[in-house]
Amino acid sequence: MAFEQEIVALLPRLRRLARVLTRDATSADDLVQIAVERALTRRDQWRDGTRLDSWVMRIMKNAWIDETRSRARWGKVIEGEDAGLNVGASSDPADSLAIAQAMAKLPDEQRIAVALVLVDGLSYADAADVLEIPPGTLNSRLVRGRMALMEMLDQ
Amino acid sequence: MSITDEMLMAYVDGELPEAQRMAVDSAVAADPALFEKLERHRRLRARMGGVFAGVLHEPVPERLIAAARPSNVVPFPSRHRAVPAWAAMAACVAIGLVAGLSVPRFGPAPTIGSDLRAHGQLATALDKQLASAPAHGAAVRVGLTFRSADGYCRTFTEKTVAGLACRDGGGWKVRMAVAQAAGPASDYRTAASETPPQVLEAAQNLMVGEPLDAKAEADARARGWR
Repeated sequence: MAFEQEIVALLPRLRRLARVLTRDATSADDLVQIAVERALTRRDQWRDGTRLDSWVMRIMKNAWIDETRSRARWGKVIEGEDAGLNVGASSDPADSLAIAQAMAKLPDEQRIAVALVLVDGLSYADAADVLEIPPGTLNSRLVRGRMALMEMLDQ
Repeated sequence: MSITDEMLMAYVDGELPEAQRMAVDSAVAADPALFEKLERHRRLRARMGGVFAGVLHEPVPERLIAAARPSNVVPFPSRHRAVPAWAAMAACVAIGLVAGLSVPRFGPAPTIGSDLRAHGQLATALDKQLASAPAHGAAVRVGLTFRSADGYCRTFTEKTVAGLACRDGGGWKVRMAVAQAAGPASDYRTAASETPPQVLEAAQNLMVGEPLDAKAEADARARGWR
């Protein structure tokens, strides 16, 4: 499959991951668009034989961090109450809202670790690769993030 | 062995090594409270996966599919238009292809008033090639030579990049670069030597008078593009 077609095939997963990270569906798609555009202009940096999904997700992660930093600089903060508009159609809207709001309250580095492993279903090794952190660091972020979520979701 | 939350999470994620997995199995079998704890971790994983699954089935917006198509235009910063730093950096990478990777790929992004200069094969082609006598088989081909208000400019094409460079202080300054589709199928280009419409448009905007004819071009080269 051509490089561009593989990226098109990844779009649903990228959109889902972006929804977990951002406040609303439009910001999520903006993030995906930036990631895709960067991936295309940097395609010579992608090594054949390595995983394209991890590589594009890493690009998206970096774009998200850039965006988050600039948002922090301007003093805008995502409120948990704003979250919930970003989840797709679900059989249980109340549950979706509760989870989205709980996720929005997690520190960024825990949120993205949880998103990669629990929402996208990546292995620990692949998630650590996307985040460019050692496996032990991923593990501790996952543990803290999940304990906090269980606390908030009272389950 | 004491069973930690971390182990239970790794268990439900399918990441626990065999020996520890067996330890969890037997500990859970003997301890209902621990079993309930494991179930909580399992439920959280299932809930998280389920809530966002709907996004996968939504139609993907056309703008994202369009973004994944080749021939992304990467305009260079001008005095009038702010370009995001990432776009400038992307352009930086694109130029690197032609310029023999002489532009640092991971260096600071060029900003407005940046100075991306042609090097290597690109510089040689801009200095020596005549658009009126195309060099077959050359990696870089010059398409159009013309005068701008500030001096001579030339369009160029390469397998992966096309653009526009203008004379600047004894060298060539790249004013615009467009990433090209490497494959045969492209909306914009059917032949490797064809100049993309974005580049032609930029050339038209800069051009004073008509493109140079064969004689004027040869004369300009003989004078060192001064």
